[in-house]
Amino acid sequence: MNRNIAAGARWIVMIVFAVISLFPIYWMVMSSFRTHEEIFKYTTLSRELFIPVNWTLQNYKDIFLDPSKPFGRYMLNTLFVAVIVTGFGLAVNSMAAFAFAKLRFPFKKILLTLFMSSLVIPYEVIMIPQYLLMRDLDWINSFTALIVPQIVWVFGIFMLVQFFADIPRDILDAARMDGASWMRIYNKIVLPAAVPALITLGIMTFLNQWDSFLWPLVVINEEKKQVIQVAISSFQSLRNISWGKILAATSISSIPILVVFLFLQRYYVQGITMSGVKG
Amino acid sequence: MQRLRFAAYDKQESRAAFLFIIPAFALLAVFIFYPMIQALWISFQNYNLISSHSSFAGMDNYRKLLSDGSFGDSLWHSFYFTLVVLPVQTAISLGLAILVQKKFRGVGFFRTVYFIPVVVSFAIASTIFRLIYNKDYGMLNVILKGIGLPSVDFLSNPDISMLGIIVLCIWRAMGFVMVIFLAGLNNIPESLYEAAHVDGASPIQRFFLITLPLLKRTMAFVVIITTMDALKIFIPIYITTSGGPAGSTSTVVHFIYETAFKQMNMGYAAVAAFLFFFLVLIISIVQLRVFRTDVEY
Amino acid sequence: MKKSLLLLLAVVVAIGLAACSSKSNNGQGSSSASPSATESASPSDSAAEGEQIELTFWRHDYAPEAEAFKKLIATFEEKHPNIKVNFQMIPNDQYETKIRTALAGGNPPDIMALDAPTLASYANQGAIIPLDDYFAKDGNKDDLLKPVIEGLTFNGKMYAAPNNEGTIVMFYNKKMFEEKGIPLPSKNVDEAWTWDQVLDAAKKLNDPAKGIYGWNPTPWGFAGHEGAPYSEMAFLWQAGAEILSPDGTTAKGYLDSPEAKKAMTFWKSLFNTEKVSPKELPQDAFWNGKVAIHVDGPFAFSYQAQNFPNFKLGVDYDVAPLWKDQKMIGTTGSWGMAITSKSEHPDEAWQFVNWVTGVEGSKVWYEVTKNLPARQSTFDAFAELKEYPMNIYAEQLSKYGHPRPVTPAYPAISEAIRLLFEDVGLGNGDVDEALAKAVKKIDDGIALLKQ
Repeated sequence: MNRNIAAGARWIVMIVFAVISLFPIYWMVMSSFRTHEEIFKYTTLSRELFIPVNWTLQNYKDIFLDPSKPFGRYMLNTLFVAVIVTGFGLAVNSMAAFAFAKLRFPFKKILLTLFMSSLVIPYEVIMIPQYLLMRDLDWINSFTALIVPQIVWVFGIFMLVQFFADIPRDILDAARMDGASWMRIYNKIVLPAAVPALITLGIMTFLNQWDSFLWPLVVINEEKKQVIQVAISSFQSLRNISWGKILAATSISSIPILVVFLFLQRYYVQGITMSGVKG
Repeated sequence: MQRLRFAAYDKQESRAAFLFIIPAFALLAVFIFYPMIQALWISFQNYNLISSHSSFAGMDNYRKLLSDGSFGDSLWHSFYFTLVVLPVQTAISLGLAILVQKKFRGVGFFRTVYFIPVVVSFAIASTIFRLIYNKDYGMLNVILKGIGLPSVDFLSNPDISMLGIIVLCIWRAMGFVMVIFLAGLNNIPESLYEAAHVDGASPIQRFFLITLPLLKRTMAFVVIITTMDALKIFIPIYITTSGGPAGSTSTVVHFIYETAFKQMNMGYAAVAAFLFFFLVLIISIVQLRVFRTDVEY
Repeated sequence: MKKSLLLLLAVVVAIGLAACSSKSNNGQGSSSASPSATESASPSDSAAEGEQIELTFWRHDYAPEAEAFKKLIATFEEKHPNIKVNFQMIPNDQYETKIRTALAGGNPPDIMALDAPTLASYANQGAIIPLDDYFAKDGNKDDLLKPVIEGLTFNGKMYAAPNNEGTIVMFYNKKMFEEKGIPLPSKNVDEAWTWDQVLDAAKKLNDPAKGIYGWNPTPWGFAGHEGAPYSEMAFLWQAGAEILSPDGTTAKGYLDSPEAKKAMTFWKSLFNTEKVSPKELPQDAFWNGKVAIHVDGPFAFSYQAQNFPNFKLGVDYDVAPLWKDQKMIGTTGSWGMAITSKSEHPDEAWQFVNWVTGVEGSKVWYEVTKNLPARQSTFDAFAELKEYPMNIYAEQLSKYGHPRPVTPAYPAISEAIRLLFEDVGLGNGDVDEALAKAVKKIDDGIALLKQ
């Protein structure tokens, strides 16, 4: 009896949180199919509140068919930058994380603290010096400026340290005894064991780049090279906020991430764990 | 082991470690530390954002900032935000992780659904919540009114505006933290729970005696990262409230942004950033100490 | 072990550099609009026909105005085949962040758009150049309206050319007025309604049960941007208060005057005791019939035509002059174009600025944007500017226009005023305290400039 109540309560909690998680996204997508007039029209609990009355694709047409703002191009630009940053980021950050998690070396604590300090500084204040650096490197208005400074991500290093720390040191020592180099150990033992963690970090990095806004805004001076978040914010002008366009653009821009995520989610669903290499 | 502490570093291992770290370190040095040092230098100057010349100010900026009421307010807003988000978000995320840890029909669905808000961009999430929160026509209040509850004016009532931002941030982050906790939970050997079960421990006892202690390292990561992120909260505020209503959601980073880019007082903004930097760094180091784990890195 | 590690490192770095540099080259090569590409691609043929010049011009993004610019740029380039204008639109909310970052980096565009009150900050730091010599040569300065010149002049020099002028007037829902039997406000700018008259009507129109607010006194509600102080300052001036001392050195004794207290007390009552004004302005509130009395600029007409074609002027709504108290005053000031001191081609830049903002350019600008002109010749050229509803804007502008203070401390003023009205309106805060806070903020901002 008690058991049933507990199980029931458990399901209710799970479902409530599922609804909370999904509802704002559902609202966004549904509203993107509404006309400007309709988005804010219904203010009582009714069917119309949840489902568009006059379904329209106009918002989507507006964002894709505007030649002065090639939305598809912006998506490709962003995709390009995000993929490259993610690829290099995974390599660079996982290597550093492996060293911090598993190797013994002097000044480790100091280095860790130094790395951590880069997470603590508010980005807005180093943006100007960073911009001056881009100018001196002659990277203004190039994708290089969007990519190279973004590769290292200390948050990602810390996260991977978490996962790597679960790999028993004994296994690594055993491999050393067998004559494997550290590079080989990293390649053959650590990375395969950490695939789910790497995927998590990959998604986070990709997302971070997909989200990136202030930096591309200041370093890119040419509309053709602009990224998606800057384009979305341009639908909002002082005198006219095109909510329909904004909602359509946000819905569309969430799709690549959702696809990547749904494609990879079985790795979490099967459980992010290091148990594969448990001693 | 203990006695050999410093001498025990294997030379080859140390060298390998440095080689592993060098790419990350080099990038950090050029693109983060170098700009940071410049920003630190700026903080000792009267530095107008758009001016080509600046003058040395020494500690003037620091002195002035310490008596600046609006900086004090913004510090308090950041800490208030963090003090609420840290426990609430951690508890919700851990709760969700425990709920979906065991395999059952549909577990994959729930794990996926809880993670989905994470993949919505922060800027987009903020925009959506801004619309949903509207006092008269936002979905949230329409539903609250519809089921006979009083409406909430997150966007115009200075007393509760920060709560609106908090809800938004927790909504977006809980799935991510849940995944981190899931990874930690999955590393706790099932045999421990079985043994505890045999000994007649209640689920609550098991949680406090096994789960929490063994989650220590995961918890440390979650707490430290959440604290840092929460203290630096900016984007949702910039998009939903611009620090309003009546300055009630102006956090430190918002203060810095306004000072640097609206008031164009770069030197003063840099001072705020560095005072805040040292404050957060100390907090993080203290947290690291508190959570010092037995597991060796 | 060492070797493989080094190898990996080398590969990572090499791929990294190759990918990035090749990509950025591709990126630049494929887009002919990029400065470096045009420069490197065309030296051979441009040498033959004289110097090819590219001017960069940045402005915040707003569709109708962008359209006008594109039109004017096309005709300009036709007339000046050796000059190419690279026009960049920046998202509205982040325009100033972007332009200021570029100024900080010393690589701003040749020509930048600016909102009138920010002009003094830029001029004071030497970021933009005075245009007086150019205006004297062929700028037709006499043709510009007085408040426009006043708003763009700092330390006796004029630093920008105006695209248009702006002010806001009262909008009201005619049907609601008629339903409640409220007499309609006069269309004569000399007979504007007083605050009390508007409040009186607002109280009758207010209908919380239906979610209808009587009076929305700012076009964008409590917005986080310049739009809020723009409309809020008018209340202070109307009550007879000033923001700064005449020499611009302090707000003390001016912004905390009894007149300012009166204005703030009235403002406070609108939101907190009378409750006729919305603390959160719903989207399109006026056009959806959720606000009975509203305030807006001339751009509102095209917005209505586009988004609410069935809500008609003269039938559903009408406009009247802005309200008044001790005085009748409407805030003025809009965007103009300035030439940055880093520009290598200031003369050509002026040619373009003058093309857009000159006598003929202003007419094109008006035709496309329907913004209030800054030039008398444009007013004379269009009969519709003398007719209802534009005549209300035009007459209010010339008789009662008042620019925002021209001082390098304006960013501090703007923020202080915005927070002042939020503290009192939204926060229901103490008027004296809020005013003291605003005075301190402004005086701190002024003190900072003296360093």
